[in-house]
Parts: sequence; C-alpha cells; structure tokens
Amino acid sequence: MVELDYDIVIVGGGGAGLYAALWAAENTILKVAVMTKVYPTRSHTGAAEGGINAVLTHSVGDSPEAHAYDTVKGSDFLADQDAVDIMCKMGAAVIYDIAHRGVPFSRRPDGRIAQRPFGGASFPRTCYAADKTGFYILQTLYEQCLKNNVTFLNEWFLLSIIHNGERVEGLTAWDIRNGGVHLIRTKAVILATGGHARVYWNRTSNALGNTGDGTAAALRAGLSLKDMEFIQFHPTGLAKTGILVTEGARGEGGYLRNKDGERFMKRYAPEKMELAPRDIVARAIQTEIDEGRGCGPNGDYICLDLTHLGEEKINERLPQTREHAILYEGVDPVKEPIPIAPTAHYSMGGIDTDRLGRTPIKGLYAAGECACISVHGANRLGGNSLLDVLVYGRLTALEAVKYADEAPETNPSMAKAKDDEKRILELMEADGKEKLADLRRELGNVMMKHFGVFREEKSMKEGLEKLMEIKERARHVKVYDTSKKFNTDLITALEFLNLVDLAPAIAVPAIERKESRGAHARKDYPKRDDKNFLKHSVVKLKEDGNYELSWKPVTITKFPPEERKY
Amino acid sequence: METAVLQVFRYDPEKDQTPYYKEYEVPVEGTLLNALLYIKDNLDPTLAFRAFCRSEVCGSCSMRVNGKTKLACKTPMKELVETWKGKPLRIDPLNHLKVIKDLVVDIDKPIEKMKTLIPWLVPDPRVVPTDPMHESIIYPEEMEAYKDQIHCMLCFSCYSACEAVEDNDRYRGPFAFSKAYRFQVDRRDIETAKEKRIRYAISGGLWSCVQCQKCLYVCPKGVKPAEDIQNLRGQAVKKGFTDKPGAKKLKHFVDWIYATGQINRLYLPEEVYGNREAREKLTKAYTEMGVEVWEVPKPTKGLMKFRDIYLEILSKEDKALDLDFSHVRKIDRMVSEIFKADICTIIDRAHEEGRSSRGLISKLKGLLGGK
Amino acid sequence: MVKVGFYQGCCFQGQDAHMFETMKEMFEKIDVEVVLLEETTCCGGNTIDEENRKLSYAINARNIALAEREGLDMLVSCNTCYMVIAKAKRALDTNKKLRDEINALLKEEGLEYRGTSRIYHLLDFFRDVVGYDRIRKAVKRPLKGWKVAAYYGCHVLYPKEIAVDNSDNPSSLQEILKALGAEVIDEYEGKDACCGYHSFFTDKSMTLKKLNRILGGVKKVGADIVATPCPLCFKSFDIYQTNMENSPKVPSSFLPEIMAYAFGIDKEKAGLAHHLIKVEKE
Repeated sequence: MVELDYDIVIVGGGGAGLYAALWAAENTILKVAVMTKVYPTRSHTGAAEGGINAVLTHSVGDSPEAHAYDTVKGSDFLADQDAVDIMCKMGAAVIYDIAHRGVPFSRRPDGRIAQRPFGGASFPRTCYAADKTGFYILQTLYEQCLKNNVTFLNEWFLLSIIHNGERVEGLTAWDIRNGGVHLIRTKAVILATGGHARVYWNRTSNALGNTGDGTAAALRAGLSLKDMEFIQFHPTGLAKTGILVTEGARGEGGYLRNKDGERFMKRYAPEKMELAPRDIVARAIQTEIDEGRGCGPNGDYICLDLTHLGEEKINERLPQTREHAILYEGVDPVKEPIPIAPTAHYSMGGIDTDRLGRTPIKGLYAAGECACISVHGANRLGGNSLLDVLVYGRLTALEAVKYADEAPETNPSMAKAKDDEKRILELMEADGKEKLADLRRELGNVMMKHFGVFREEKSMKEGLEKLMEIKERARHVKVYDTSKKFNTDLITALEFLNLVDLAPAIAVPAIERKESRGAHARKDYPKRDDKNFLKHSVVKLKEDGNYELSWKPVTITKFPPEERKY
Repeated sequence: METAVLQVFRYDPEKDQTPYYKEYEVPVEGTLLNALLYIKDNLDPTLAFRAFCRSEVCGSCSMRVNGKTKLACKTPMKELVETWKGKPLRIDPLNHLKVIKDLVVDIDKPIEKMKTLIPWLVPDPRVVPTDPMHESIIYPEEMEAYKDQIHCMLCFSCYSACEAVEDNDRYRGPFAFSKAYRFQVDRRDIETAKEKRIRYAISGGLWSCVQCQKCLYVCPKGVKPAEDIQNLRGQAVKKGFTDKPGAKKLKHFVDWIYATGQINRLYLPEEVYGNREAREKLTKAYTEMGVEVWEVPKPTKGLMKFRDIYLEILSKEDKALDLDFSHVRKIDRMVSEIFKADICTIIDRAHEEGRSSRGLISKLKGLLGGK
Repeated sequence: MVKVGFYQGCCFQGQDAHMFETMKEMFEKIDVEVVLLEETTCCGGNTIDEENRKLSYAINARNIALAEREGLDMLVSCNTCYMVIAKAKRALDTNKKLRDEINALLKEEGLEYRGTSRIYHLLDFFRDVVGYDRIRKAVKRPLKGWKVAAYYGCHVLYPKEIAVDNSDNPSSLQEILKALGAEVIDEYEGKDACCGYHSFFTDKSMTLKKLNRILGGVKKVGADIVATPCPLCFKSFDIYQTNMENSPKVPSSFLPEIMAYAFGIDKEKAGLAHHLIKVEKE
C-alpha cells in the first residue's frame, strides 16, 4: 500500500474537476492532484452539446437577475436563490475566462460570442460552440491543465472519504492500472465526480461510468444528500440504448407520433406542440406509452418522425442525429421515424453543500453534477449545467486553496484503507449467487418502473422494497476477475455497489415528497404544494443501513414562489 | 439471430506468459462496442477494455479489427461482417502502445509526446485582454482555419495506424501535430509560441511523416492530421527552417513545377542530398538498358499560362517570393539548351505581343527589381 | 472501344516516356483507347500542398479541365496523383467559392473546371469499365506458376472519401491478378505498410525501413514478384531497393507491365526488361 500526500485532491476530471484544478494550480503553490477513474477527456462533460448560459456584456436587455429568475422559475422554486444569484452573476466571468483559454465559442459576425435561445430562458443567453460545447470546454480545460503541469492520477477509483467528523483527512482509492488500495493524505478534497443517472441502467443518456461514485462515498462517509428524488428525464432518448437525440431534432420540425400516427402533443401542449418544455414532453410521451398508445411490438416507445424534413435538411442540420439513429437504433431517419422514449438524463440532487460548495466537513467540497448546491432545484434548465460546473469548480477551488493554505497537516488512520481492501477481497470471494449484469439490469428496471417519469405512492413503496432487496442480493455478486491489473470486472462491481447505495436515497424522499414539483411528477399528488414541501429533502445513511430523511428550508431572497407557467 | 465470432486478444500480465486469442460468439447487432459489452455481461466478465460514453465523443474504445483501427462504438457489427465476408474478426488492442491488459493499452506515452508540442493556447496579450471581463473578438471566418482540428478527442486511433510511429519512436504522432497546428493558426496565440512549436515539431519528427493518409482514414472525427503535417511543414519552411531534406524537396517541387510543369526526379537527389552521383548512376543504368534519359521534362504547350496561374495563386496567398527565380532561370537555361527553345525569349515575345496575361512580366520584373 | 483521357503525371515522361507506349498498347488489347492529356502538368505530388493547398487545387482543376475540354473521363495510373486529383475534385465540387476563384484564373487559358469528368484509377477502371472478364479474355500468356504478391499502396485506399475499393479489405487487385492467371498472394507481412516513396527525400531512413518490411515479407512467403498498381510504389521497390544495405532483391512490377506481358506483349516492350532488379520469371 502506497501512501500519497497532497494538499488538495480533486476527484473527477470533468468540467468541474479540471476547472477547479486549473484555478487551484494558478492560485497556489500547494500540491494539487486530480484523481479520475478514466482519463480526463473521457469525462461526460464532453457529451454536453447545447451550450452554456450566461449574461454577457453585450447581452442587451438581459441581466443576471433575469437569468436568476428564469433559473429559479425553472427549478420550480426549489433552488436556493443566494446560490443562483452567485452562479448567474459569475456567468460572464467564466465564459470570458474559458474563451481566453481557447474554447472556440461560436461567434457573431461582429466577433462577439454568439448566444441562442434555449428552453425556459427569457433571453437568448446560451453561448455555444457549434453543437459540441461541452466537448470543446473539456478539451480546452485539459490543454490548460497540461500547460499548468497539473498532477493527474488517471484511472484511480475513489473508494472512501476519510474525515474525523470535523475536517477531511484523506481518501482511499484503487489504482486501476496497477491494482491496490492506497491511502491518500490530503487537507482538502473537492468531489467533482458527476451524476448518477446510471441508476436507471437500461434507460439513460449517461455514460457507462456516471455511477455517482463521489456521491455514494459521501453518503457512506455520513454526509447528507439533498433533493435526490429529482432526476431529469430527457424526452427523446433512443429506444434501445437511451442515447440522446438532441432537442434540435424537434427544433428543426420533427413530429412526435404515437402508434396511430397521431401527433399527440396537441393534447398536451396545443400551442407549443413538440417544442414544449422538456418535462412536459417527457410526461406526454410516457403517458402515451402507459396508456397503450406506444409503438412497436411491445408498445414501449414513441416515434420521432423526421421523414418530412427530407434528406438534405437532415444531413445539413442533424447529421449526428442521423448517424446515431443508424448506428445505435438501426433506423435511417430519412426513411423511417426514430423510436424514442424518455431517458434518465441529469441528477439535480447530490451532495448537500452550501452556496459556496462547502459541506459541513471542513475541507470537503462538492462541485458539478455530484453536488446539490442547489442551483437547479427540482428541474435544471438546459445550458445551466455547464455553467454550474464551471462556477462551482472555480469557487470550490478558491475555497479549498484558502482552507488548505492554513489547515494543519492531517493524519488519517489506515483503518479505512484496510477496510476497503477487505471489502474488495470479499467481492472476489463472494458466492456468486447473483450475476452482476442481471442484477444491474434489475436495478435499472425497478428504478424506471417505480421511480420513472411518473410516480405514485403504492408503486414507489413496492419499488423501495425491491431496492432494499437488490441491495441485500448485491452482497452475493462475485467478481470473477481476480487479477489486480486493470480489473474492469471489479470496477463495474464497485460502480454497481455505488448505484445500489444511491438508489434508496432517491426512493425514500421520492415517497415522502407528496407533491409534484419539477421533475418529480406524482400521479397521486399532481399539484405543487408549497405549504408543505417548499423545502429540500435531506437523506443520510445510518449505521444500521437505514436511510434517514429530514428536511431543510429553501433560501428565498428575491423571487417568491409563483405558479410555473410558460 | 445472426451471430459472428470475435477472436479477442487476451493478455493478463499477471497470469499469462504470452497473449492468446479467445473466441466469443456475439450477436450481429448494433456496434462492436455492443458486442464487447455483450461478452462482458453474458460470456466473460474478465475481458478488459475501455468504454465510456457509447456515442463517439469520449474516444475510449478505439481498437483494431483484423489489423484495422476502429472506434468500437462507431463500428457497426453488420459492416464488419460484410467487409470481412465471413472471415473471423480478430480484435486487437491499439498498435504501437504497450498493452496493460487485454484490449487496454498505455496511452501516457502519446500524451507525453503531445505535450512536447505545446498543445495549448499561449495568449498574446495584445490580442487577448488580461482583464477577465473583456471579451477577445474573434471573427467567425477566423475559426475556419482550425474547425477540423478541434474535433480531436485523443482516441489515439491515428497513433495506432501511423506508419511514421511504426518506424520512428521519436515521432510525436499524427494527432499531436494536428493539436499543435490548431494553435499555429489561432490569431490569439503568441508568435514566440508558434516559433517554438515549429522547432519542437521538427525535432519531433515532422519530416518523418510518410503521407500515407491512414490517419485521415481512421480518424473517427474527420481530423486530417497528414494535411496538418503538410501545413506545418509549409510553416517551417516559411519560418526559415530550410536545412532539412524535406524543405529542399519542397523547394525542388515549387521551382521545377513552376518552371517546367513537372518535377525532375533525376535532379532530386542532387538538390536534396547533394548527391550528384545518383543521377549519373541512374542515367548510366537506364542508358545501358536502352532507355532514353531526358535531362529535363519537355515543356508542354500552355506552360506560360500555367506559370501565370501558378504565380497568381502564390501572389494572392502572399507567397510569390517562395519561388526561387534564380533557380527557375537556371532550369530555363537547361531547358533551352536541350530543347533549343529559349523560354525567356518566348516570355519576352509574348510580352511584346501583349499576350501576357494578368501582368506576369511586370510582376516578375517587380519582384526582380526591374521596371 | 472505350475512350479515356490519360493523365501522365511525372511517371510517364522523361526516361519513363516509353511507359505510355506500353500502357497504350496494353489498353488496346482490352478495347480501350487511351488519349494522352498532353498539356497536363505534375499534380504537385502531394508536396505542393505543403507550400499551398490552393495552388494544388488550382493545378489539378486545370488538369481535370483539360480532360473535360476533350469530353473525356480521366484515367490516373499513379496512386498519389489519383489521390491528389480526387481530393482536389472533391474540394472543387463541394466549395463553390473555391471553384469560382480558380475558374477565374483558368479562363485566361480558355479552360473551365465544370466537374463533368470522372476520375478513375487503374483499379476501379479495370473493375468498373473494362471488367475482369475482358481482362481474362485478353490473356495470351497466362501467368501460370507466377506467385504474385499483391500490393495496393496507400493512396487508392485512404482517405475513405476517395478510396476506389473497400479500404479495409480490398479485392480488385487480386481479381485482376487472378484474371491474368497468376497465383495471388495477399497475406504477407508488410502488405498494408506504406512503400516509403514519399519519405525518401524527407526522411530516407523511413523508406528503407518500409522496404525492408514489405519486401522482406514478400520474400518470406516465397512470391516471385510483387505487383502494384502504383508507379511510385513500383519505383520505391525497384529503385530505392537498391539503396538498402541488405537488399532482398525482390523483383517488382507496375501492374500494367505484367498485364501487357500476359496479353502477349514481349518483355522488353512491356517494360519488364527495364527494371533495376531483374524480373527473371518467364
């Protein structure tokens, strides 16, 4: 077992992690390292297409306040308005900063950064770099980290967070490439491990590795998770894989049709039709499927019809959509409609932090999708995730630098590392009664069936029971690969166990939140209930394995709750 | 359901003395990545490979099928079966990289190599404001210059397929040159960094590229490294790095094609390597075989107008002075001696008759200091 | 009789001028009339691109325009010329601004690039226009007992946009060689390696390593000769091989040469007698 020594360890090499690393590297002489289970440029920030919201100096008529209002309204008033205020005010600063570092933002003819309209925004304030905004940001941040000689621990898997109840002391991690548990001593930790929508294993737009590793480690370390019941479903995921079909497909004039060929959106949003907000379209599609009007032999998808757009337009405007439909669905959108269904897309909930990304444990921060600051509340606006990632990557970096500069040396015990080693050994020695792939598929099915687009008390309670059962059965999952080096069998098992820990943390508050708000749509409580539920849910994992739910107030400053109408 | 057999490269350094291939029967459905995930989920969880996004943005899952580099998530199984017409599909890890286990390779080396070419923006403070609340103005047309290069996702497919990497360990790799070139044509990047990149590119094997175009073929994102390498070579020569053979070769091409419409393979060894003997040897060998050896290409009809077009383009691109006119005159003399037709006279006569197009003569005279 | 414009490039002029006669005679045997496109110039050899890509496009717009003026498709026998010209054609066909700019210059010479001529390489011309059957029928001297290693070279297979065959698993060369009656060898070490021709004057060591790999591979499988549809690969094999320290002395042939030989044209006239590394096989 090697012991490593740093001042600040950033876990995760996506947008938040790399931007944190960059700001830390440029603002301190402390030892900073980025630990990632992949290589940084693989991170899922790279899949963000649409753009990043910010009010720029040339955004005439727009203001950070307007951006904040849209964000709060989009969040169904569950976002903390002090945090939203910070994020929206920093928009221009982070955009110009990354532009100066080389992000190839699309430009207006006058050379200024171009902005386009986006769902739920009252002004065109989404900056974009073609349709690969996240990709370019990720690549540019990586380049800049190389320039600043940032230390990378590539292909290291986070196991546990070590703290003494007051301050963070270190981490344990598995070195994927060489094998082995290691103790990492550090004064500060920034968790930037991304989302956990992979808990919906069979229907998600997320990468294979978006398994909430940091969130699960935080939960196991006794930290609180906030607003976990809120999962954003994107209306158009490819039927077989959940891979995203961009909103642009509808923007360019695509129709949604049920098995009768009907453009059913006229019954849900007669004016906006296919261009209604994401959650409304997702719910409409799910309703059609649930009520037996889905397409295909099992009636489990809806058709996204682009055929009337013609080959030329499809090739010109939606080349990626066509390529993906052919590759991943076996359907050419020029000739036939694309089978789609809602797909789990984004986790609004996550590690409970304050408005600066701080957790109650000193030196422990969270940023990006793994964190719940909360700037997205019950529903995230398109274009706000990349902004969140950058603003909080940077803020937590500055907080961590400030803290680590003065914090005393830490002295974490080896106990946790020994425990983790034992845990991994046990995985290899398990009886193997349960097959990882099968159980994981089951987890995904339970989540989609009982905690999907629509939720309902009885079904959720059943679902929670099943989740606890899966959690129990997961103890019998065996890792067949017993070698140390690059044991992907082990990694997928550890990822699965993280998902298994997180799933009930979604289920418990989902059952107790007896209202419909943002992405949490309950059939038995179809209305928002500000009187009883204008509050954050907070979940903790008890020693006995139970999930303890409590509530905490929402910070409301400028914008009093009102009905969310578009 | 239609199935295919994958013969997958297996090697666990902890257990295996040597690599071996293991066969798996997989459905011919979806992509090669689907097939590998199928193996992992249903047949053999010990198989190690990298995969992440599933949708060709992260660059994790590049590997080889029957020796050809592919991104697994972008390669339909059906296409593989059709291409290889029932032959077994042999799945290997990327070439030129050390195998860590099974299909997983060590990619640190190419990343380190890339780093030597300064693959990041070094902002010129005269263009990029230091005030963080000020925007640097970039016109959309400027971005055309690097619109392809920015798509590189570091999948190392080109590194695996590269013929130069194969035989020159110093060679930085196609992608690395594309990453470097992206900043060479960014107005925001400072001149001193551009100069350095060229110097480092040359020591990193810029002239070792064989121009096989395999990098263009295997790139899943439409980056064209071999063309960027050409661009960098041009920049190198322009910046005065003219001592390398490749720079002299380029000069040969630029001058001879202008002068005669053709290159002169007989003179290449002499002009590039100072090797006069090669020409004499070859001439002798051909003569002995009864083949007539031409010292210079025969000037074709339309050559003067061809020169016009040539010079016009170079002038437009601000490169007319790249032509070495004294060299061209030397070639002209050789041509006139052999063909008994004086090119200079022809040009002058054309000028007198007012047939010269687009002011070629005045341009020439201007360049040469005449009236 | 099919008529096609023949682009000579640098490989059919100077000391190689006799090659065009061979080519012409060979094509007559399969009812193809090749018309030399006389006023064409060097394609730039994929090297002018280093100086300026637009110059390369302009030169080749002019070359193609000369074929178009004759109302003929263009047959290119060199892999590199083919790639450079086909790339230029793609650029001109997809970029109107570029086409207009270059046409404005060509106008002086009374030329215009219109995009009407198709560009063929030998391989797709034999496959799609001539047909393997006609080749088979023209054979007077089947290459019985000839073990011929098939070597494609790079620029007919890569990049994909201009490839004349399946880039991963091509078959046209084998089919042609089979039609000549030869025993085709298409599995040997180095079959996919670059011939190194283009690096001979930029980094000579690369060329020699490539030749070592390919020709060593050819020798190892016991082939009598390596045949390639590219005159540059052929030059690399025949001429640069003599620069190798331990030359394996593998004889090589430019595809039209052994085709001519198989069609009954004598060795001298077929060009096979003019190689630096002698073709002993009869």
